[in-house]
Amino acid sequence: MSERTGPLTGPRVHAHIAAGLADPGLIDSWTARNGGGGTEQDAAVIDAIDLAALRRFAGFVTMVRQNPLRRILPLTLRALAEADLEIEAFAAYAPHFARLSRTAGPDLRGRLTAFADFLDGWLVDDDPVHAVIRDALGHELTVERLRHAEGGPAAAPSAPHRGAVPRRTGAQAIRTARHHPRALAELIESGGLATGRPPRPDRPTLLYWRDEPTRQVRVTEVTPLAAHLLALVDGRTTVGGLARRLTAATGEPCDADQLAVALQEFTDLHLLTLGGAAPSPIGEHRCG
Amino acid sequence: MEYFDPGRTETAVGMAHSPYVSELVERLPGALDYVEIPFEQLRHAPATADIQQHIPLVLHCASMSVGGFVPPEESTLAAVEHWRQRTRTPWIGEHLAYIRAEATEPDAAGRGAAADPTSLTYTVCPQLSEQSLEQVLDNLKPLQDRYPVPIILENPPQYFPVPGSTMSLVEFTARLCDRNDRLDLLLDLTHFLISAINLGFDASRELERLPLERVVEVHLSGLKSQSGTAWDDHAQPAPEPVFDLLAQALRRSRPRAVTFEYNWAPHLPELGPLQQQLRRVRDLVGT
Repeated sequence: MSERTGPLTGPRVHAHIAAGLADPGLIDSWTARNGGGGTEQDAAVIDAIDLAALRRFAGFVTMVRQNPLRRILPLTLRALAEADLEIEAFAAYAPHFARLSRTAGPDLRGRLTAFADFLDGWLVDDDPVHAVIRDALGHELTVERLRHAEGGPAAAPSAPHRGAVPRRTGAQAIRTARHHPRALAELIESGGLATGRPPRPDRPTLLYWRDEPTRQVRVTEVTPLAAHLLALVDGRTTVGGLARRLTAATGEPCDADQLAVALQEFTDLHLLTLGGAAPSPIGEHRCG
Repeated sequence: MEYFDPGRTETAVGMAHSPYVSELVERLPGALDYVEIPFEQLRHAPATADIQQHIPLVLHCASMSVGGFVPPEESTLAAVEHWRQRTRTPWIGEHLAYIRAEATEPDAAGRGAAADPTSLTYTVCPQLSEQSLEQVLDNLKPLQDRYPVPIILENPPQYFPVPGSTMSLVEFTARLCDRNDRLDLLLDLTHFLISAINLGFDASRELERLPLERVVEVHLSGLKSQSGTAWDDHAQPAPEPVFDLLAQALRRSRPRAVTFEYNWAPHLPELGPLQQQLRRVRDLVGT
């Protein structure tokens, strides 16, 4: 059979490779032989294509189209590459991204959300390398969220006392990580994922906050107790009330004056502001 | 405005456009002779051309689908001409690849191509066959007649064999050059090395089979290995084997330009290593 009349003509081969790249879900259906009917010629072309290689190429193309995300997720993407999972992850993501592109033409924020959601679901729970990648993703998403969070101007530090009411200020978040971001970066950048056996997690409790004057997001390790304390701050409870709640929660006596001193660290970072007691919410007091 | 000197005899050294190339031009005065800019970027964001107030531009294109069986839109070719005139590019770089293909759904007669063609966002290596060879020659001639500057074709990276191919990309390229006197080449040495790794040929030996005397421009970039395949990586510096291939190619060619494609990294590359690479290329080309 001559080249021009055989099934593998240039136009039909190009057509199928292009179709697979434009709609990578097709490659999966061809692989599973669930694809639409098609002619004998089409079937011959599909049989001749290295579908696994085409799928990887679709992943590569999808990866290149996510290059703007490298500014936001450098560590996550580096971790995927170091674990030799970059092309595989983007090959799995390619059908999702193709659908997204057809319907929305997503902006950077839409791309980030879509990819992060996909990756979080794609990574498996019981794989230690995947766990490190998920840790990097969690860290970078937290930083990105705070970078764009609403936040007022920095409050002037004030001296806490037992009658003051602490209120959170600025953009902040508490996160229990697998590793401190510094250790995480060292692990990933030193090629520590290539062994497939990353070190045991340290599980630090991390406080992320945005330094309002510089708009930089900073990370500090805090004790679980400090994280719990911050979580108790509701803008209505006095320092004395927080001390009583901590006592109840931990079973250890918590002195309100000592707690006020501890809170000073947060006020110095502009993470808390201290004021007088807030008025009771409307409806809390019954008439008569 | 700055324009590439068409009479320039020295090999120019430039950089592919990136979000940080303006900063590079500013921070490394005189280090770059030009910026290579994608036509597609100019078309969708014309203000990108403002950088030409400071440095000449060379036009690079991925829209003419020279390696394909479906022609580009007339409006695309007209826009290329618009930007050729505005940039006064000395040549138009284009991929020996396709970006449009007929639909897979058949028409009423069962011949395919009833629906709109499939358009891609990334160029793809064509089938390397007699049929493709004739098609590329047919595609090239009207383009060469249309534009008053040379069209130089860039070798694509080969990530997998294209079914129905009957010759290597080197043979395909050599035969194209034999049949078309006006055709010159853009030799992407990283693509060449990637193809050698993925298809298992000896890059150094095959390079000698290329018509290197037709090389007008050279591309250099990084590459990486993932999932058992070598991939183009414009976020990494060109590795040593790429410089080895450059030195080898320069024994038989005198390109007019060497372009670093470092345009995928999220941030400005480290200036020290970048300056070393720029100097290294200038030493190799003797400028």
